[in-house]
Amino acid sequence: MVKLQRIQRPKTHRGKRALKEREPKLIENARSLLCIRGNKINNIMKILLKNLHLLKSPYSTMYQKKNLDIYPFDNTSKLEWYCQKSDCSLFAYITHSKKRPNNLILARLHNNIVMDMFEFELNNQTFRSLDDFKCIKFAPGNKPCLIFHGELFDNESEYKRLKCFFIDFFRGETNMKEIDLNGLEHVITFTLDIQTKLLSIRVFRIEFKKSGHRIPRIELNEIGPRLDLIIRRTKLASDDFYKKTLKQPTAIKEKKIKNVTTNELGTKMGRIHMEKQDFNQLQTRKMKGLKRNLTIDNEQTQGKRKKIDSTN
Amino acid sequence: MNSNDLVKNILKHDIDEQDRILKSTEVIKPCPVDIDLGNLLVWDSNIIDQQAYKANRDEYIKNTMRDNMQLFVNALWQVPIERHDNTIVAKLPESKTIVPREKPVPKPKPLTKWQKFAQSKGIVKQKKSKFVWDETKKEWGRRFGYKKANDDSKPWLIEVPTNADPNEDQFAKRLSAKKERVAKNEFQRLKNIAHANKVNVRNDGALINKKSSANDMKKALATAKYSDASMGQFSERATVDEERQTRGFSKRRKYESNLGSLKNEKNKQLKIFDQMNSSTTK
Repeated sequence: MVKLQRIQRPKTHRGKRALKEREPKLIENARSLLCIRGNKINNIMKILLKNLHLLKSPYSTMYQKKNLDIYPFDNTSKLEWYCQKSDCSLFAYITHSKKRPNNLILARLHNNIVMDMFEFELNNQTFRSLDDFKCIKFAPGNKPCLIFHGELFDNESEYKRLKCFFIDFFRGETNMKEIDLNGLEHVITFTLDIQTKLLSIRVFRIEFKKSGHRIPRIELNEIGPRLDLIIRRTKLASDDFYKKTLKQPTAIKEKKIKNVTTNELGTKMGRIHMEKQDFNQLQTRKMKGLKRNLTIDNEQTQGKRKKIDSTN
Repeated sequence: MNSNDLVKNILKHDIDEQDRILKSTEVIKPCPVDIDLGNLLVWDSNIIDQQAYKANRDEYIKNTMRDNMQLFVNALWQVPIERHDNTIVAKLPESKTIVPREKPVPKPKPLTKWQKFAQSKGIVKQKKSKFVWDETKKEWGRRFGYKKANDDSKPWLIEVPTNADPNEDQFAKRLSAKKERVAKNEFQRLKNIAHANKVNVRNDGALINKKSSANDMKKALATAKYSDASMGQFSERATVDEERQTRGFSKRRKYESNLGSLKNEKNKQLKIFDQMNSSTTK
């Protein structure tokens, strides 16, 4: 069945602006997260989802109701539809069953089509939520620092993709040109152990301490959810599809200015390349300095000057 | 006294040493750490110390991450700094890691007829004021919109020009002229849109050079598969590759068995009747 895609015509200026926000742009918006619950969940997964939502706020929407019949590894169309509706390009889906306890599925989309999808098992004994750490957290919407530790992130292709995935997931604002040095508030760290393949995610608050010279000393305080995850299943985009998503628009690239340099004194020097000129065909009639009469004019003015001098 | 002094000196030296270590911003790592300032990203490729990791995982993670963060801050403080009012701001360089985009690269929109003309002549849009002085009302009114200034759309008097027919309805003439202008503008706007979508239109609205694209063919194929007596139940579904959305293509109608339970069937039929009877729309 072919579904007719009706073109949405906005009726208000506000609606028009909202649609414009959702259009593809040269410099993109931050990726939004969609938090969805599955049919059967337990309390720990509920808290985890809430924590992810808070970590990513305001770039995050939470769906409160349970959703039946969503099996992401079989069919992602329903989730893609929800993401299209809320203009999100990431989703987090939690379930809990006997076969797959404490299940968390994270995925990212490109053009409302699922690109990469990772299914994790959360270790519920070592899980600590945001509420378990009683201290100041961070301002919502702040861009986090990201630290990855573990050789696996570079050796195996699956974990390479996972690293790129997490950068994309937690990055926040894209293309940030400047940062307030006091604005570095929190850091999210990922440690991947070779032997147990355990991925530990910790979130710390950065504190600047005096160090005697300009660069401050850093101290870290744990604030955020403490997660220990093991990968269960993955569904990665094919290399072709992945390459397509990496394409950057040429308009953003800095344009090189050729033939203009600044010398040591600070003057701007330009270089002009001329084609070969035939000196016999040059236009000289319009150049005053080449006129024969000009020398006679000079004598006349000198004469005038002498007269003025003599009267004084 | 001398030995006392000696002891004091040694202790002081010790305390100073400790202080220095606590305050130090130096970090020594076996393998240099990869820092991407544009993304605020640190990639530490050092091997995890299994002993320390197994002994106390959280402590180990906290310490290594503190070191990594210190290296990052050391690098960040080297970057050129600007001052915006009261805040000190560091200019971040371009990010090294290329991250996939959320949506495809936007295609540049083709220029409209007016935009091309304005570009060639060098006409730049002048910013107009929102409010204009209304001479008759002696107050400021909007340039356009609700209660606009110099509004002559509803005139109470129109002078009949000398060369016009005295029986002609001037008010109706004004109205029809306005309608024509609006229609012309709409026509030109639609022409611009058609050109933007590479659809060539003749003056009377007919299409020129319409060639079917691959997209049209796919749609036609899907419609054809759906247009048989069984609504595409038994034919192969239109093939979809991973880059196109699967919405609308995966549903197949499920039929109930003829020999199922009578109770279920009765309940279903009654439910349909209830829905038809109810005043609320679903």
